[in-house]
Amino acid sequence: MGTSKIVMGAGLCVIIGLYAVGFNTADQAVYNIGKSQAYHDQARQIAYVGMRFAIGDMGSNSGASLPSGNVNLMSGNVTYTGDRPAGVSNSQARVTSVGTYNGYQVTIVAILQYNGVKWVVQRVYQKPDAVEYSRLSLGS
Amino acid sequence: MGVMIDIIGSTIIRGAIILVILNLNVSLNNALSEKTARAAVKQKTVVPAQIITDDIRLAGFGPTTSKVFAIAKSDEAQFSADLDGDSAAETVHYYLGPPPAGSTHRALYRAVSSINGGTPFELARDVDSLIFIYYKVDGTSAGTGLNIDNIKSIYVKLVIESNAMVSEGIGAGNTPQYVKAYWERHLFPQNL
Repeated sequence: MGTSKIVMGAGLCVIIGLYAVGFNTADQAVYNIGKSQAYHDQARQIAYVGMRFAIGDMGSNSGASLPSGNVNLMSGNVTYTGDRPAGVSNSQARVTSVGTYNGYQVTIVAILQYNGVKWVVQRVYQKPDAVEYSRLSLGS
Repeated sequence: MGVMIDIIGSTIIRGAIILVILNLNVSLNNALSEKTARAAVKQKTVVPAQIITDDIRLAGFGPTTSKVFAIAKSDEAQFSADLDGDSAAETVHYYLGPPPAGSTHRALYRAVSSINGGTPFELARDVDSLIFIYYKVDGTSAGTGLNIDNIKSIYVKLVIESNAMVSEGIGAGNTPQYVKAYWERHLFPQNL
């Protein structure tokens, strides 16, 4: 009779222990995903700053050379390059800005337009990256 | 004998359950105090961050001379800006002052030439650090010092701490620490 109580108590401890391990695992997973999302967001902000650097580089000169640069900032890094693909007029330019933060990378592509006074952003979008999105979902 | 084992076993199980409940209660209370302190510290950064953003966005109003930063240090900045829209530039000065009486943290001061005769105003307390980094048009560093020109963008980072230490757990290995919150932004003033 007493032996059954001991066995029951031991089983109870094992069950509580399994729950505790499960809670800790879930807690760690939530933290990892939150951290990876924060790093990804920071990389995106850094990429936007690179795009602003590119705009400043071209300034108010309608015949400005295509911008390029590499800057360390916000504990990360941004590399921006400009080009003019086929079909784009001389009053337009495409800027690709890659922001990197703690191993996470976000690429921003902006189309700049010369409005007669200075270069301004006509449209901007974030380049989808399947590998980065997979990293975000796994929290790695 | 069997009865004794039953009694001992039930006592051990009951004790274990009570221990778990007490531990959970203490952990939840510590987590509550830590999260509350963190939320309060984050709230303390909102207003200073908004004021700094609004001021720096207007930096450089006026002729060429107004685009020079009179002070462009890593923890202090003084620049010209037309804050009240009267077409006359004021001088705006941000710096960290000595800690107020009874505190170990520094205070962030803001002085505007057109407000109270330029008397500094305490914008934030419990400031851990204030960082300014100045960039030229292409992202290269504009350097630091006095009367710096060619500044096209400014990176600002403000770190504020809680005014008291917070314990995040229990046990001998747990060390109370100040809870920190930081705000950072890279600003591109239109007038520079």
